[in-house]
Amino acid sequence: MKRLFLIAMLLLMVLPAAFAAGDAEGGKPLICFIMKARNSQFWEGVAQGAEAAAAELSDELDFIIDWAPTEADVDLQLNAMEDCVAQGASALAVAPTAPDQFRPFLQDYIGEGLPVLLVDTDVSDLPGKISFVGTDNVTVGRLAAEYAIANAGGNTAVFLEGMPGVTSGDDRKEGFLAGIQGSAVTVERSLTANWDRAQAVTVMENILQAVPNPDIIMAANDNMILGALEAVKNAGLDLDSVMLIGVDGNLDAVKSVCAGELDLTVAQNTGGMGALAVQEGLRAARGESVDIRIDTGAILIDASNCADYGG
Amino acid sequence: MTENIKDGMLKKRETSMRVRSPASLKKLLTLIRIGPLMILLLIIVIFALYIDLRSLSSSGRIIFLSARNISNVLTQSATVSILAVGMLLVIVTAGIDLSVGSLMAISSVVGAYWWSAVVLNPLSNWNDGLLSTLLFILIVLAVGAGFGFINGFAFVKGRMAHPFIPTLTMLFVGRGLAFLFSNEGGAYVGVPAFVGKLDDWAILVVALLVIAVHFFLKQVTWGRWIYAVGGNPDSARRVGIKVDGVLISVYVFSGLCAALAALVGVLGRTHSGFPNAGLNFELRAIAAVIIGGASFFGGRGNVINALIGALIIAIIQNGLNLLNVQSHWELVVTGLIIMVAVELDVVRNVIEKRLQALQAPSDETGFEA
Repeated sequence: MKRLFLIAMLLLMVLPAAFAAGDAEGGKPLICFIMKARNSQFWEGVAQGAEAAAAELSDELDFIIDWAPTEADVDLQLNAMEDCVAQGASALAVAPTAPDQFRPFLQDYIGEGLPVLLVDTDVSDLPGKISFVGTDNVTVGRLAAEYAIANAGGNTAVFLEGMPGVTSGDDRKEGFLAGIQGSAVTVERSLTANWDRAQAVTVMENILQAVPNPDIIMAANDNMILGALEAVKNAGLDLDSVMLIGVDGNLDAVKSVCAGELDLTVAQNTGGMGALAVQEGLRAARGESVDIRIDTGAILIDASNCADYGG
Repeated sequence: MTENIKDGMLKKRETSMRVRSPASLKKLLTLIRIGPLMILLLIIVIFALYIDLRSLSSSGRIIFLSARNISNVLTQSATVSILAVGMLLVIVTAGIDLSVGSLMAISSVVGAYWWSAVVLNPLSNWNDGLLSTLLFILIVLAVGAGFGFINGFAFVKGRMAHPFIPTLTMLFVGRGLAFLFSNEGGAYVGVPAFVGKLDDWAILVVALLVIAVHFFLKQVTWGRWIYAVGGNPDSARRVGIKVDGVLISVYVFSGLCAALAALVGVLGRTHSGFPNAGLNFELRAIAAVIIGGASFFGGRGNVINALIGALIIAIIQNGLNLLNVQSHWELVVTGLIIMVAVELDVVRNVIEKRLQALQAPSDETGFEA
């Protein structure tokens, strides 16, 4: 018993020393990056982008990345953030699962002089925040419009909107409408299908009664364009004469693009988002100027590159 | 059938321990009795060595035992600690309360709704004062206690086989109502200024609650009845204890603790009420109580150890965060510690039986054991 105890104590003494020998460093700014979760393609992409950027900058920064088990675990994400900041963070990049619940914490941090960057999801009413690093959905809509103008066979367009009042969907529509301005393309119908695939089938069937031969069908997310695709197939339209565009770059949608059904899905640039969170976080930690709004851009996935994205 | 197997296992263990003398058995028993405390200290020592020796040598700072981190981890543990106190009383009566996480959600949403609809409403005469703050706290606590009463009443008066059933029902109903009651799954933002500061006083709230309940269980008749009901409900009824009342009261108290946890850990911490609050916290509270050595079969457990159980869970989470270990490992480690704690309890049972067997003949007959 005594001998066991002695051995255990010795191990406890020696192991940390071994750890310590590995990383004898100090004085580098610590960048904390707290994600919502890491249980989806989206967050895995963000994490890998951030980790790659941090590895590249490893001479200049210490980097900690953490997340909650699921996007619903608000409390655990708050804990992860507190625990990272307590290690002496020089800048915090955080993708809050629930902006309202994070605001009081972020206000405190800003009050203590810690640079705070929001990633993916913004927190409104947060004076003193350094930046919001995320996808600009107006750009997403505009890119889709430009692609449609360049590649579609005609000018009759219809649009499937997201849930009313949700900003990302509104912004995508706004961008699309801005993008087609000055071109011959006109939007004949624009209705909501509430982000929902099944609802999109019904809504699209109804639209096809009024607009039987659309040239361009754009939906604010992939679920709805996949629903619209069903309606178009059921109506017996020739898929080659209709351009179908979705947003998100979901695996379903990418596979459909590769199968020659959908024409385009606009994906968020997840890797770039993670990388920018780290790079701009470092700039903020050094006190350099950072833009208040950083658009992480979007990736167009069509038949030419769908194989690279898992299709 | 299971009883037979269990007896067989106990006998096997007893034979293997026959060589030990009563004195050494007693020593072992004391060691096991303070098992939760030993686990806590061991975890603290391990994390302190791993995290702080490393950070001392690399940057000359300590992290794990720094004032900021200690204050963080105590505050983070407050929610589970408060829930564990309520859960302990329920488990002492051989019951279970699966609804506390959902009750945190519904009480925080209702309270924050009232505050934003009535007090923050520019047309109202209310302002953030003593009366409105008291009323706010009262509403939150009343929601928790009210749903707790429904749990207890349904269990006792509905003659349900096990409290698992009404509280599992409430786990779904409470969470569903919280979503229905909030803005399409959103949050109500804004709480009284006093409640917004409760987070800073979380440690004090937990300390007062633990002391009060500890005293209540030891000194007040009703508190001792709770143990009696958990130990043997039939004999408790025979000696005139109001078993139904005791059972209902522990579920009301558990609901009250859920509301208090919502005040400190949700409304105080995030200044808002939201329907995802307290997700899976019922399981953390149960884990804390079990790690703290309470028996699932009722009649045994104490508040201090339940608090230690809650601290163990919080420190594991904190330490693994600081070591930058994937959060999924936290679940694995917590699970393993539950297993260790329950095994300690089994060993303790065996030793107690063995001691009785050793002492009984020599005490009563004078024969040498």
